[in-house]
Order: sequence, then structure tokens, then C-alpha cells
Amino acid sequence: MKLIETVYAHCDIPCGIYSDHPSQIAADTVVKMNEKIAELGEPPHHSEKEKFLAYHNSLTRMILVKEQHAELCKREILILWTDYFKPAHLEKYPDLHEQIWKACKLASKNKQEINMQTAKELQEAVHEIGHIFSETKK
Amino acid sequence: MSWPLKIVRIKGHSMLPLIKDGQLFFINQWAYLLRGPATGDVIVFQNPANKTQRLCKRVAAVQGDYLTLLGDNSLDSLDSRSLGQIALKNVIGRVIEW
Repeated sequence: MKLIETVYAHCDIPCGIYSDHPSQIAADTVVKMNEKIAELGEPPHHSEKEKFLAYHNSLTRMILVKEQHAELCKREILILWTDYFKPAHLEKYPDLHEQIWKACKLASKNKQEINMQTAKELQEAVHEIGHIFSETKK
Repeated sequence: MSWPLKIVRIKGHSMLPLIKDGQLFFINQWAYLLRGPATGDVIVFQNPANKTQRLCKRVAAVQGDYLTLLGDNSLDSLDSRSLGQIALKNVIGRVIEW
């Protein structure tokens, strides 16, 4: 065993390590946050102030996480698009640009809205891109 | 079980300005025996794509059993933006900052 071990704080070199998982986890989180927001019951009109504060605190946190993960999802998709996919992939999957564009638009829409349907559309779009990514790895 | 403290030499520029290329640090390998990593911790972890390589980054987010790790020098860092999220099982220890 070495007394001093070397650890790397790597720079952003083209390492060839890519994954579709981060975008899928982010899209799953957006769906989950929509689910939790829908389940969050608003306190009755005459409730104590503390209950209203707790409700607004939970709602704000869930919206924030939804916002962050929709943005993260878009970013992860764009990394695959700009850094991983090559012209040969596009020849095999001519709709790829359209699918990426659609998924990124959906990510933005999920930031604007609280809408389970839009969240599931994002999840599906990201899943389709993930499927293409997996196919290109075979 | 390994000793709690270990000396590591951290190479690379992705953790600037906190860590300069080649700087020596202690890592606490027992830091996460009782609790998991928290946002803001600087950790050493095993590269899931290359088991012999150990990397150093900061925890940007904790999501269940997975961590999003980013370099402080975000303009020049190979991190979760390319590597994806890192499983907790790959974490080796926490860098002791001074």
C-alpha cells in the first residue's frame, strides 16, 4: 500500500464516458415532484398560521426541485447531443435532432407548469433518447 | 477496515481554487460510517468507469443512493455532467479542508 496515493481532479477532457441515466433520473424526479405536489393537501381556510407556513414551505421546495431537475434533464440531454452523438448515429436515427429538440422543449415546459401529463411526456421523450443511446452502444 | 486518515496527492485543475494541482490532503475514510455525504462536502470516490482510478469532486446534490458531483472549477471539470451520478458505494472518504 502506498503512503501517498494519487487522486485525480480531472479536467473536462473528451473521456468518452457518457450515460443516459442522469437525464432519466432527472425526468423521473420531475414526475415524482408533480405527484407529490398533487398529493400535498392545502390546509383548510381557518387553519393555524404554522400549517399554512408548512404547506407553503413544502410546496416551494417541491417546485424548486422540479425546476432544478427539469433544467438538469435538459442539460444532460444536450451533453449527449453535442458531445456523444455523431453523424453516423444521425444517419441511423434521422429523427434524433427532432427528438432532442422535443425533449428539451418539454423540459422547459415542465419548468413553466405543474402538469403531470407534460412530466410524463418528458419522461417518455427522455426514455426514447435513452433507447437510441443504448442501441448505439451495442 | 482501513485507517481513518489517509494522505492523498490531488492532481488536476478541476477543484481550483480550493485544491491546486499536486497538493497534498488528508482524507477521512470513516467520515461516512454514521451519516452519508452532504451537499458541499469534497469527497474522494472510485471512478465507476475505471475501478483503479480515484477522483475528487464536490457534492452538488444528494438523491437517495446517488450523488451529483461537480468540480469547483466548473469551466474545466470532468464530473457528473459527463460521468453521470455516482453511487454512494463508490465513495471512499471526505477531504479534510484547511
